[in-house]
Amino acid sequence: MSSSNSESLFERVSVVFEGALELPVESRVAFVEEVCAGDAELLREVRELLTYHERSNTALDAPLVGPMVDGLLVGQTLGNYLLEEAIGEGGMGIVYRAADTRNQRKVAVKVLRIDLSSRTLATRFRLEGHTLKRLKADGIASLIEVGTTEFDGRPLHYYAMELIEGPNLRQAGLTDLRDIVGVLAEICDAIGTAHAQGIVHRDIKPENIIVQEDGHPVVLDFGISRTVDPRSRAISFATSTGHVLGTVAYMSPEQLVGDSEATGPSSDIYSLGVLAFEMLTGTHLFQSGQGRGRTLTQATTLLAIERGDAPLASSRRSEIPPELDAILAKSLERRPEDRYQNGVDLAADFRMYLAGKPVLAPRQTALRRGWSRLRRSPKRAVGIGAIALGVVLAAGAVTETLRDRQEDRLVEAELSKLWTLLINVNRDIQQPGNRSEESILRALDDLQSSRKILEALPRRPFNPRLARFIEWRSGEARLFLGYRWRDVSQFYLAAGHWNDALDLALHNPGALEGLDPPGSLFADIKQIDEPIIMGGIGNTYSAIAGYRDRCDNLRRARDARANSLAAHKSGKWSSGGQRKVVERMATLDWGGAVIDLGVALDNLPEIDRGIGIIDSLASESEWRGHRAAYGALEHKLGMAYLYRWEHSGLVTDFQQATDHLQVALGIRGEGTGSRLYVWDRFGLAQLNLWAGRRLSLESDSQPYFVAAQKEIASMRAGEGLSSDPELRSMVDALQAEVEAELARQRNEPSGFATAESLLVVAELVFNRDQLPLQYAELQLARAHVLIAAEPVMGPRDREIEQALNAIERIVPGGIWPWLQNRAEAIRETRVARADLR
Amino acid sequence: MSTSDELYRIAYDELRGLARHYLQGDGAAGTIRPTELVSEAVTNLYGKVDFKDQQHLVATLARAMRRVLVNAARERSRLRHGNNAVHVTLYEGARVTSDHTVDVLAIDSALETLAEKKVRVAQVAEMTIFSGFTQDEIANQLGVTKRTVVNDWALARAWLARELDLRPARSSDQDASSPR
Repeated sequence: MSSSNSESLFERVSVVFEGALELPVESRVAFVEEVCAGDAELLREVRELLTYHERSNTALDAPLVGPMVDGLLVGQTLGNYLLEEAIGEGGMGIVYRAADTRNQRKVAVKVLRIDLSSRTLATRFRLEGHTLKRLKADGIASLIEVGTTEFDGRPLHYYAMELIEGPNLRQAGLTDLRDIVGVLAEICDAIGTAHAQGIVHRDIKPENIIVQEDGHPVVLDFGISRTVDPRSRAISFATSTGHVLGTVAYMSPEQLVGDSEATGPSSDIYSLGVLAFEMLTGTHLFQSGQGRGRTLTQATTLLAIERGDAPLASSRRSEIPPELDAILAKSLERRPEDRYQNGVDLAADFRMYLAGKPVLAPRQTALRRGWSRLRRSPKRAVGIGAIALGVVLAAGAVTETLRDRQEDRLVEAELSKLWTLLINVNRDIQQPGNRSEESILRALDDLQSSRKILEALPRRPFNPRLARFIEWRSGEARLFLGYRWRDVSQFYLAAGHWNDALDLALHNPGALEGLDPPGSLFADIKQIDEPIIMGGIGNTYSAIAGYRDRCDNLRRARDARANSLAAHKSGKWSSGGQRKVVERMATLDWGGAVIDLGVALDNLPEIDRGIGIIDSLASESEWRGHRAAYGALEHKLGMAYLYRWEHSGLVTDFQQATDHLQVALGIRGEGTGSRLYVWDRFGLAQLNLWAGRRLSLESDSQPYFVAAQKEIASMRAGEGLSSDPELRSMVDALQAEVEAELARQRNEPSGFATAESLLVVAELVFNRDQLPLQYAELQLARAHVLIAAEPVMGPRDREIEQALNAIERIVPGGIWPWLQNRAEAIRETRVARADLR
Repeated sequence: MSTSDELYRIAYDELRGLARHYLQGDGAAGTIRPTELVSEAVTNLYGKVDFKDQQHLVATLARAMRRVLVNAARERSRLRHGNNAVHVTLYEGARVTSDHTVDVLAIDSALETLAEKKVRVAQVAEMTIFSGFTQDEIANQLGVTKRTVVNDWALARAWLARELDLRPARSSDQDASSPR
């Protein structure tokens, strides 16, 4: 088809198409057929386009961009409401102070974000609004109207409610225990009233509770969250005020599962429990530590809620009395039926406490907590086997012996199922080099089934040794998935499994009593011992440290490694010729962990200690048959000297770093099938970049930058980067720095453009929310690039400041001193130079 | 560099900067809404740039936004290609309400084809899809009546929808249904 032909065809098509649109739908076809008589091509084109035109839901109707409504509505009238001022913003939309044009009363109007608008939502909104409007009680902001209007051709949903002014519960600054409990009781009253009318809030959180001037609380947004999204998880309600948590933080376990139909008043009770815990202790229920700068990520929250181990409030704030501990614990029970059943009951117990009377909730003794944890733990849940057995038993008039025999047979059948499952797991997890996502996911399924069988196994005491094996394998699977998916929550899960495995091992070293697994499986089960599990835990914490709370997790990793080594040394587990090798490996792991922590802490003596530990092992002959480990050792030493040199600036350290990295590269270089060589080259490139930068004032540093460039080119030439976007982005960032330095020396502005685009690409991967630490490190690279650009391109103060600020925001006090110190050093240099000028 | 090139460069930088900001942004969990970006870009640019060329503002922003999204989608598809799970949400964030997956790259190339057929229709489509401006504003911009904009968009929408339907799914999207 020539272009002039198609152009004229398109032109004709457009004329006919437009003409057809003027007509009512039913007469279009006739019109088109008449006009296009004799021109089959034209007819076909127009008819096809009309078909697509009438299709209401094409890919394009997901508007990439909707009209900008948010924030533009001040001064507009929606229904009966004149919007006067935007007073708040949440994930769902903007809240305006507004005047009801009918009576001039001040109201709050919440306008839903335009992308939450749809026809189904409009219907749901109206239906729910009807119910909610009937809810009137003290302490509840009443809903006045739910409305939908058209704005620029799109539906826009809003609701008007009583205007309540004052700080929210978090801002209100309540500190006195009794004051807080009084307010909590009132909140529970209000929510209890709603419960009595069959209405559940479903989104209780501090932001939804306003403390009025007179000190009385008012609850906002009743039932709205469910109206907007029945799954209620899909929308993050996080506000723009820097509060990272979505509503997830206050959700009950059953809400998290996502079955909103199953969530009733007791679900609100759980949320109230979380809220009360936070108000009373000043920390969120699942916040691991105190102090600023610690953020609770969605993943850790989800995991914590899923695991269900709520701490006692008094463990966070010592003056909290046992009565309040008890009330909170009862509100936070994992099973809905164990909690207070509605707000009224919870309010009543708070008041019992205020009146100094005994509370309804049982005292939280250690024994009781132990039990309830056992019960909470899904591991001990009644499994399928037990139900099956129950059916058999219920069959009625069976004699004792008959029942025994039936049970025996059941045990045998269950055991043989179990062994098959575990053998499959071994196959799926252990296949060297052949593990795949599929095999791992299959293994996890099988492990879940094994766990159920083991727990429900009749006539056998719960076997910790076997449970430990199952936990160990589960942890291995999660660790694999964590690396594969770059998903830190998988690492947390792995750590959880292995801590459980360790618990089981420490408290119940028992054997496989009464169980008789097939030979190969038996050996595997026996092999998983304490030192191995501790080493595994070290592994997970190192992995987590790549993503979250760097120093904390590296410290945990180091301690786990030290424990593992000590356990190996005690010799209780390993024996014979293997023992020496195993011990050496554990020592290497420990020394490596010491170095990692030393580097992160920016602490030279600690790095030196790590070097000392590893150096004693660095005799190649002793590693015969363990090349991979020896390569790792040389790499670790190389990196340790790199950072040592960063502190000392000594030529000998530079030389050591180069030598060790070269040896490592020789062992793991291209062609060996290992991709680890990329890390060696990365270290060498980094070393040269830093050296060049350090020398740039004194002498010609270009050869160093060129050397770094060469290393990067070699990395890119090989296979090692192809399947690892994270590593590739690290290389992008490093290259950006190198290109920028070279561009400065050669006075080539285009080099900065290259550097900048490399940084932009890296930043797409190092997303601040998902990979905050990598993002922060990237900002350091950005700062270096900008500094290099300045002599050629002019001052970049504002951008550099932005990058440095970002680093400080993400890694405040102690999370990662190395990075912090580098940012600080840049700032000091710049201040000093500015003073000079 | 001509004024309109200059304007484009500034608009692109501004939008890319905003996109980056939104990717890090508070609470937004790595999603962006192009609507907000464009609107914010307008606000920011009014202070910074002397818009002699204001006539072309909408068109320029739409073109720049398209480029930002396309580049992000390219990068993403490159990542996907490696069968890896790193999740760049820029492109997902651009999808606002429908259940459909909008393929920015496919739209981009379909728009190019459309532009070969009739530039104005493609322009209207580009502005509608990527700028977030109203049809009145687009009409004003192109110096045509609103009616023309309405008609052009109807035609473009039908034509693009058919085009996207007929195009084979690109290989980079084939793993979209993998577990993560």
